[in-house]
Amino acid sequence: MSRASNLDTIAPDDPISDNTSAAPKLVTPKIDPPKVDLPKEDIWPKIYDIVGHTKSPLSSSLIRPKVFSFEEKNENEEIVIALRPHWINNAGWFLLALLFAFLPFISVLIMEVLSQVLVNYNLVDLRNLTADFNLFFHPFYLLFWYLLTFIYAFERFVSWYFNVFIITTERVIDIDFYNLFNKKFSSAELSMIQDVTYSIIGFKESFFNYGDVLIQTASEINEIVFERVSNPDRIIKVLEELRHNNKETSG
Amino acid sequence: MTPDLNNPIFFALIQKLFLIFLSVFYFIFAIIITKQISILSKSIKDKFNSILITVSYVHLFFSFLLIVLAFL
Repeated sequence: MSRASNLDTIAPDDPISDNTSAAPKLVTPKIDPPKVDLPKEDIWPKIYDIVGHTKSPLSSSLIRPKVFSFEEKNENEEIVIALRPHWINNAGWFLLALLFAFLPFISVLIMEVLSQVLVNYNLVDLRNLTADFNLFFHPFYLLFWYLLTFIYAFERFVSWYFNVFIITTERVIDIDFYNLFNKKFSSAELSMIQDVTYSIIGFKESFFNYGDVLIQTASEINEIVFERVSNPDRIIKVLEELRHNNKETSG
Repeated sequence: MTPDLNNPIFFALIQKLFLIFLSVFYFIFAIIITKQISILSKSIKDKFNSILITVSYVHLFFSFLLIVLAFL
């Protein structure tokens, strides 16, 4: 006797049928569409509470950006935060480029003053040297100088601009452009994250509150480092919140 | 026939050739930069991509102007 014909011995997963004489029907398992681990709608107020809203499109932290996207983004994936290194890291090259831009005029001024002083004290006559020096103000040299200055600043800006760390609803991504010719893409699923730590080392870092976020994963890439990002403590909180939310959604 | 090393025209010619070589080399570099910015802009899309592409083309134009100046 089959168990289905005896209600005393029926198992909860047995198909119940009125027709006991008929051959047991094959029940095909219903295949559900794959679950998409999108965060619940109430995750966003929590994230805004932690990191706030984006104030400028050139900000180093873009919270839930509408325009920002990347090539490897999945269809159902949503960007939570796009991070770039803290803007203070651009101060060095910016000041240097500014100095290069004014250097021809500063050097001429110095030469003129030096020449006048030396002539007045009958030391050396630098007037001929000054005339030779002015040859560098030929349009070719001047344009070449400013093109070099520009390309130096442009390369540094582009390296900062395209060097992004992205936290999405599914994974963490690190896109590195070391210079204009080298690109590195690494990502890890949120569920694969094992440990997250951050470090703020140095006076400048402490003053402007930026540092490195180290994400250790169980995936092929052992660790992902978000370098010199602002408010690393908040980034960790966001990651914790997303991981927690992901567990709830998938579990 | 050996070149007259004391002739200022010879030095001017060498200098001219050097400047042309330099400007052509820089122009090739500028082309690569422009191409690279276009590729990077496809990889990461953001608000300022169009500005960066425009700036790289302006840079390319000025690097071409450098070749013209080298001939003058």
